[in-house]
Amino acid sequence: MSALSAIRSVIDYESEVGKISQFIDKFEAVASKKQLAAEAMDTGDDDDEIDDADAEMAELAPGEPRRRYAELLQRVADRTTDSVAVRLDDVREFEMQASGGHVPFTFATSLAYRIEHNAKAYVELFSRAIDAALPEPQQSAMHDASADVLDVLFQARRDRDRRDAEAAAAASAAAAAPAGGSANVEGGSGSGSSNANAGAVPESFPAELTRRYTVHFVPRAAARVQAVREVGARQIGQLVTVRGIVTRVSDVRPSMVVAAYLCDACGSEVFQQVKARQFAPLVQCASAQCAANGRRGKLHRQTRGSRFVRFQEVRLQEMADQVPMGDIPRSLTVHCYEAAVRRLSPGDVAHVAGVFLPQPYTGLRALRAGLLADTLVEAHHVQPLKRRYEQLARAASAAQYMQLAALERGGDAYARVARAIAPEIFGHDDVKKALLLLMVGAATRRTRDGMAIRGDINVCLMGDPGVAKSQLLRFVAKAAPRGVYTTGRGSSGVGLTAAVLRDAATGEMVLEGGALVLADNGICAIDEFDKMDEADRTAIHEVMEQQTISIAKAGITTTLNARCSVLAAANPARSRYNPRLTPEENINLPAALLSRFDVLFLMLDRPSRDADLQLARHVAHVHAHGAHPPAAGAGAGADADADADIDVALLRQFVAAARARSPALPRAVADYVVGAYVQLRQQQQQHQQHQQQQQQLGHGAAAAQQRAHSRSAIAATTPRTLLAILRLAHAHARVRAADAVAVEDVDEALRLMDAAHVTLDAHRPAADAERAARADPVSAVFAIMTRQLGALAAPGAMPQLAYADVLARVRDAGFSEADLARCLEQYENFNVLQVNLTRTRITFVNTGRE
Amino acid sequence: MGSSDAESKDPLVFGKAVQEHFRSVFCDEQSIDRIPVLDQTGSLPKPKAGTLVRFRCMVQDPSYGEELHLSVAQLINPATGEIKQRFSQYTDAGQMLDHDWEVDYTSPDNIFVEKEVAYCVSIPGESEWAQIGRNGHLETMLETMNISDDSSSKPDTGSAKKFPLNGQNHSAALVKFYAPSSVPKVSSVIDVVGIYELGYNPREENSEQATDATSGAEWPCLHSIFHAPVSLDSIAPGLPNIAVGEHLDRRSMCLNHLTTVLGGDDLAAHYLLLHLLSNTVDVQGVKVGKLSLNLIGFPAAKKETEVSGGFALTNLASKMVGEALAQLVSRCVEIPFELKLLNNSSFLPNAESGDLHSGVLQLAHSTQVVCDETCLHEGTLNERGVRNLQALQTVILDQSVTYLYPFQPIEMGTNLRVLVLSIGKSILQNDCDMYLSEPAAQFLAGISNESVGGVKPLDPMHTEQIRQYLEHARNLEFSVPKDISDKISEEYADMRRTAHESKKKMISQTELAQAVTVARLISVSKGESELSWESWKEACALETRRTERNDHFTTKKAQGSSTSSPAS
Repeated sequence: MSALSAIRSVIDYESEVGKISQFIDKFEAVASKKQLAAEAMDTGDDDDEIDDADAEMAELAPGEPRRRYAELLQRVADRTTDSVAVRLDDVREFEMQASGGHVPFTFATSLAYRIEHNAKAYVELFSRAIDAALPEPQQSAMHDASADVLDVLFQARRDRDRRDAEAAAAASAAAAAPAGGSANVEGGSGSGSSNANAGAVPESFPAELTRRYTVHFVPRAAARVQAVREVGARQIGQLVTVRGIVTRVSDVRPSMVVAAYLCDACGSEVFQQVKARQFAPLVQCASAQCAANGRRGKLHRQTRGSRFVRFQEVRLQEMADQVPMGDIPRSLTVHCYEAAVRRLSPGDVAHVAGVFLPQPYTGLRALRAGLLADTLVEAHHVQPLKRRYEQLARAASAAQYMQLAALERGGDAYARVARAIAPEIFGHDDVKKALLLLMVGAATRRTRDGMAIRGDINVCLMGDPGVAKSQLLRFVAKAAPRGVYTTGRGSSGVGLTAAVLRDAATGEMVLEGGALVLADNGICAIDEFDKMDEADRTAIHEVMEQQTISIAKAGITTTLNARCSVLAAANPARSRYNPRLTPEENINLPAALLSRFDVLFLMLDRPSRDADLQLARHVAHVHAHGAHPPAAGAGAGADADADADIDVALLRQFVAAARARSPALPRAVADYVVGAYVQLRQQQQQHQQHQQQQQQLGHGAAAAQQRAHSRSAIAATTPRTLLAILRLAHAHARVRAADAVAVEDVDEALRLMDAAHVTLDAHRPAADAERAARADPVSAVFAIMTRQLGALAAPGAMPQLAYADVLARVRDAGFSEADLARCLEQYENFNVLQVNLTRTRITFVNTGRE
Repeated sequence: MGSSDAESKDPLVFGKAVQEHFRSVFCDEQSIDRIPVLDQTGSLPKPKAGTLVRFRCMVQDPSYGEELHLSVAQLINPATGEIKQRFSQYTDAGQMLDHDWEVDYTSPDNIFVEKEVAYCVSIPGESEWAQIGRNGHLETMLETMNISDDSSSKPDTGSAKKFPLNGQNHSAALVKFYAPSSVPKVSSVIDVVGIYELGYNPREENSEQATDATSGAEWPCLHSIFHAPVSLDSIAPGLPNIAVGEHLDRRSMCLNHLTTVLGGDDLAAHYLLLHLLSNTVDVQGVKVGKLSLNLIGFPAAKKETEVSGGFALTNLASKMVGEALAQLVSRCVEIPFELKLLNNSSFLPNAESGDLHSGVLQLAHSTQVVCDETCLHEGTLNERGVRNLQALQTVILDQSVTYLYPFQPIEMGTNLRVLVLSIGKSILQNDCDMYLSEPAAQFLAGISNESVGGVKPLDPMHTEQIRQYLEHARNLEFSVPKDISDKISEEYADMRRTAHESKKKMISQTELAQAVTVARLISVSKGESELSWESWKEACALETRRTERNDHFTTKKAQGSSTSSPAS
């Protein structure tokens, strides 16, 4: 109520116009440095606010102060722009300067405050001030190509008026009536209307007709961004800023501002200002001439002479994160005019600043519910947000911010956050790590010739029923912004791809995005991937590499973006993984599709007393207390409590923060990746040769056994593998909050890609040396160190490793510090390496490589 | 309501005072009972505009929009230029404006108050016995029975798209809440006391353009004075609380009854009881305590001609079971799996058109859903049908219903008990499959031949007691003590090891979770608030019996597959 009473207090509008004129005339955009500092202080949303005003500022700002609005008006006069964006920050700053420190500046009594609380009225006041202040055009607009219909019409009107006046003067008859001319019915504010081109425009043209610009306000950077449900009756007439997702956008239509009529009897032009959405057209001429002649001239509406503005209706809906638990989103109608038009498209997340207005019902409705009114926001400043992740990162609360910082300081954020993925599922740490990397993803690179290299990571989980694949998928889809969960079996063509449908309301053909399109810039989790239709799988091929969907239906061919990560889950061919068959036979997916997955996990169900006990306790605990038991990771007991408080919201924040980073790829690391890749290729080749030999020898059962463990099908090393390694390494570097991709990132990527086979081979009695090494923590840790050493590639001097680096990577690989200590002790005894006293440095005595 | 020249009245303060007053007047059951009821069947007389009514309803769409209401309106007489103020609340109509006066919308003295509007419908699937106003108004009911009701019942029936069970009789009203942000959550169940009025529905705009004839349709509106969630007591008032030891008696009473209904199959009756007691609790995203049940062995529906197209069961056997359950639970919805129904109705609430259309699964908390698969015949399930089934499957597994909002489907937790009656194993995956014993199957098949006379109805006293028992036990606080959970864990690990050694099928995480759920429900059925070791053992025994029986049936079916092929 207080806001309303503030408006009620008497304001002298004429003096306000004076103030505004002063502001427009005098305001000087201060040197950019200070401006930037002020904006930084506001911690506002200016980073991605690349709107017209800012573009102008960038143009104007450098060097000495410029009179921004005066220059803007010049451009309006020159017809190079048609919108005047008034930044309330500028108004406020101007007032602060003007008060000159004599009177303490209080926002609540300032002009900026009044504008914010009565925006609609001030648009008119600003327009009046601008009309008065509009300079002469620097170049004549009349005769160059930019002259439009309105100019021509005005010229014609002016000419005719002059002729009429001359004729009237010559005849000097019936002097009582001002000759023919134009009559302004609504009697709008004729006071300040002056046309730049020729000062002699008759007063009777309504100001709206001659204005070639629209005024809109840009809210202060510090203005609060609200949810739809927060906007209420208190804010009627105020400038509000609302965040939401655009669900529907109407076509851009002309909206009449001034209607022009021509009288068929006397030929006079009559203008009618339109202020509401509906108006009653004038029918009868009321000009002096018709009145004098006692005729009832019929008026004809003229489209050419009327003034229209672009108009678009937009529906803004609350976003999921603004909706209280268990509630459903609300929506709001936004009316966009002129400059705000065509800024939004469905699916955009946007900040819309505008005036909150009631709209009384009209017609029949008014009779029935006379005291009710609809509400809408008349947009002043529309700003689509670029990416959801960025905007989510902003929404981090102070507490979350602290937690994130603590996580990053903690060092093993990677493992801890990964464990927070689907906490109700026990174990599967490597899978969860891969899922975390999937959520984080790598940056999409664009080559010089314009080809995009996908940064999204695709993961496939293959495994026995009952290992909670679906739960993992559902969790990821739920936790990720724009995550979509579908099942391969349950979704027909429309579900996964996109469809061309006829819009029921308009009868037009519309494109309706399927799951993959909806997951654009997100994650598409597809369960039961193996049960998917062949046709849909073909679409998936395209999505997974080109990240687009091509549609050719009903004569429309188009390509839609589907820049999403695909997370698929599939059951083995005969529902359970059969170790006696080859992986090829177990995985019933074509190799072309498999190679598109960066990581492929095999999740097998094997009994293990410890794990089983843990799991059972976990289940019982969930039933007992309604909370997850603190996850006691091996050797990380101290962290266990800390892990419990990584909830979904924090996980989201972590991912958002990670996604904002773009670590570089140093040359040395790139070489390392190439080396690793070449090695993989060679291994594969050797393996194949080995296999062929064995088959030639005809070892019967033994050969079959061997074949069962071959890696050829599931880990065929293709050039795609190289990209996959890079992507995973990149994502890992992002998780580490590193500036550059390091060798350890690559190692982790390789380890994850290998992890699938470890699960496969774990039950094999005769494992080869490498596999055995993995089972034995000491050898495994040593292998990690040697690999790290290889990356150093420092010839000559005794190679050294930083203890902290080693520890970090050892932890990533799922081993504890105790394992590392044991390893160091053993190898120190063998005199392979030495650890310094402070335990910060590990020196290798002789580069013991395998 | 009140209209006076009240300059100083703050609408909010006024609203609060009114609410206090009415609450104090209607503080007990008897006085509330005297308020007329907004009724869905049209058998009760319709209330007059401006009178007090009560409405037990489900909030179908709470985001129906915020309305600005001119609480203090500046009136102007254009003829004389006179100005006066008018205060109004609990009404929308400007009808009391005198002839010469107009509302001056431009006046700065107008005070707008927002009210939040929710579209409410009568509770889908509410059992007849649980409906309010059934007891007190028997005479009026009888009176109005004879009157042809086609004229009286029509206007109160809401938009078909906004009621979950398409085509069923229901009433709907726009309930307007005056206190800021007091609208209950979507799909919650409330009792509203408010002032009835016929008003204007802002969402009907489109139809207004389409046909001018229907534009005159006025909507029942309810200006809420106060509302309260529907509680256990308000469903079955006047019964003494259950004593501590009484749970076991009631349990056996209930079991006996269910056994009779299922033709003497006590194992199935056990599971049915546990199913009726299941109650979903959301534990950080994990749904605990649900137990959807699939009873297998029902006789097939006789012919395709029996297709009803509506939400009523036609197969006599499943109908009998459905009716028996409706007697025991306050909300029961029946979904016959007819292709026509699956293909044409939508199960998920959909807001893609801008208005939230309801779906079959937008049901009130703790609704019993009986799915009859016996009437599923061969045919094509179109895309919508596939989606519908998938939605139902999600409810079963996840207890969540997705509200299809454009660009951001919103998943909403729900709490529904799904019972699937089928000939063979259901096409839906349930927590618990249960083959009926042969005598029970024969008994059910027998029903379809003769009239439904097989089950002798319970006497009203016992019915009341069982209802109370079910409601009460379902809402018991429950926990699992540490030592029991440790013991269970040990046992589980051992079971897996021995199974693996003997190359048998290993028990999985899901199976363990289910066994714990069963044990939990057994404890609950005995009125215990902690899991006891006996209940766990009992649960294991029940589970073993069930798997044995299921195995028996599946092997039998595999051997004699020629006899009958299941619909799936």
